[in-house]
Amino acid sequence: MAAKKELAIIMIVFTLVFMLTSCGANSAQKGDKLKVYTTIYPMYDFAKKIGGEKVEVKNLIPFGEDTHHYEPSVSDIIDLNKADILIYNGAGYEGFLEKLKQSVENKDLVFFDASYNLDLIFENEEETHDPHTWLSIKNAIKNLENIKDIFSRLDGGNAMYYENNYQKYKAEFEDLYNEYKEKFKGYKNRSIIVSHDAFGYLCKEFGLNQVPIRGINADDEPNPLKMSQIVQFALDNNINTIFYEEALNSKISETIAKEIGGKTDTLYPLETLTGEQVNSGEDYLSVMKKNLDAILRSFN
Amino acid sequence: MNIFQYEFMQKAFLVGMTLSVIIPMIGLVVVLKRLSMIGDALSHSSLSGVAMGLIFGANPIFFAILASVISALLIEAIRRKLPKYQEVSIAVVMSLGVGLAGVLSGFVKSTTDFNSFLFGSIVSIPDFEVKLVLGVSFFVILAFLFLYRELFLVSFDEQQAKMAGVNVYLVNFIFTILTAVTVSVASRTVGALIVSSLMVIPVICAMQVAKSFRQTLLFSIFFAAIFMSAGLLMSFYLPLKPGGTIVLIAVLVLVMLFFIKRKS
Ligand SMILES: [Zn+2]
Repeated sequence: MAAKKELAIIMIVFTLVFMLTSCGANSAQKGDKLKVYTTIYPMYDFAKKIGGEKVEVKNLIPFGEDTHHYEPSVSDIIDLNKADILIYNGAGYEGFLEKLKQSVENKDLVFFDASYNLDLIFENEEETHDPHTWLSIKNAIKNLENIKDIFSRLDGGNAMYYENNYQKYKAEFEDLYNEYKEKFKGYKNRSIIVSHDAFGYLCKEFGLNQVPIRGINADDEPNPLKMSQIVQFALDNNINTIFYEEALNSKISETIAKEIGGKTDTLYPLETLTGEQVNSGEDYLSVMKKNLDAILRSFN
Repeated sequence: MNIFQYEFMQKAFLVGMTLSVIIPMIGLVVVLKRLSMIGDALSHSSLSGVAMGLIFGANPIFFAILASVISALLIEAIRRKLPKYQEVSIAVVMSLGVGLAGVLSGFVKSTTDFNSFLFGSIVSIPDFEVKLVLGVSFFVILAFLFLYRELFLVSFDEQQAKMAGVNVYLVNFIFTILTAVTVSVASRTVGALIVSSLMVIPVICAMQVAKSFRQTLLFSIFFAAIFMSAGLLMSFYLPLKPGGTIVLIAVLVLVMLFFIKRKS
């Protein structure tokens, strides 16, 4: 009995200390660098590019994890209670957003939709749209602009700094766009077979057509009917490369490649990168370049 | 459109037909021993092995087999401790398997990998797994035929089997291992969620028409093969998932057999 009581007291004290320290941390950090959280890799990279050394960026979903089925953890909520802003992709990508908004107690936290003002691709006549917006370079530039705007609003003192970063990266992104717009000129309406329905924006931008093996949320495996249709499509259109992504099981892609006597290659939807990739200095630009080169390779 | 022009369908049928021999074989003894839910318990345990394999970056199938064998032995041990409450042993091990799989799956980075074990991936079976299924099946069939009389006696009445001079302990031990290996290998291809149905439903169907142990065995295999090929065929021509389709066909046939039997 006594032990139980003791345990209860320890737990109460522990909770109190914990609450006090977390409140204390919150007020102490005011006036320092902008504390930024992002949901997925592209937002992380864009926020770092615009914010530079004036902000502190952390990504909520651990790198390398499945982003489509992410459920926020208790420690995420605690982290967000100390943050200034959460930048999310929007366009319906983060299914967990509403839950998160209700759980976070931090009244000052700004929830920022980075795909504000973007042209979305709608799926069929349905209400849903493809959320992989950043795979269009033009959209990515818009993301950068939106992030620049919100940073300047929250931290007016550094507005010039953010503006300069924006101009610098906008130019780099536009160079990439122009370079590949030229390279893809001769390949209008060519098709690529991809592992999940993520590359709609990229294809639209360069006049291509995607045939996805899995749906938008990358969850289900294709049934035999779908498999045979994809094989038939590849044979009819002289496609010899089946693209897979590192985060997903590559068995299906390999099976199809074997069926058509072709090969597999990697395309990165960028919603997640592995921690090693991030540490080794890969970024949106370098990975997109890899993607576009891989697609060009598959046409030859 | 010829279904066998595709290599993945050839493999699916080869593996499917092989599994429809060994799964009901094991299933028949399991049903007679009143351990129908053992398939469920073992397939869930093998999932926790899969999760462990994926976390450690090792081959998930071997971990699945290992976890399944350990669980099967655990069920057998509890069953011997509590002979009056045999079903409890399955519930306990099943809970352990589900709990472990649930916790461990939280550490698996790629959920699609995990999902492919949950629902199986009969459309994309690598050559290695085809060989594994064929090898394991050969071994299971051989062991089953070799122990045919013993298994027959043990599955009806362990006491009588003992009096007839059967080493009940040894036979149970071997059968437990066979069950565990079959379940984990089959889980990989047809999915952890439906192995258990394939173990039980063809056997119950067979019991509606057969008159002896041997007939029940042959009819079970016959029914399993029919369900398997019908499911694969349907999912080739219609937008259906093979795993679920196979189970639904099986249940439908069982219900029909019940009705026919009641009428006559
Ligand atoms: Zn995606």
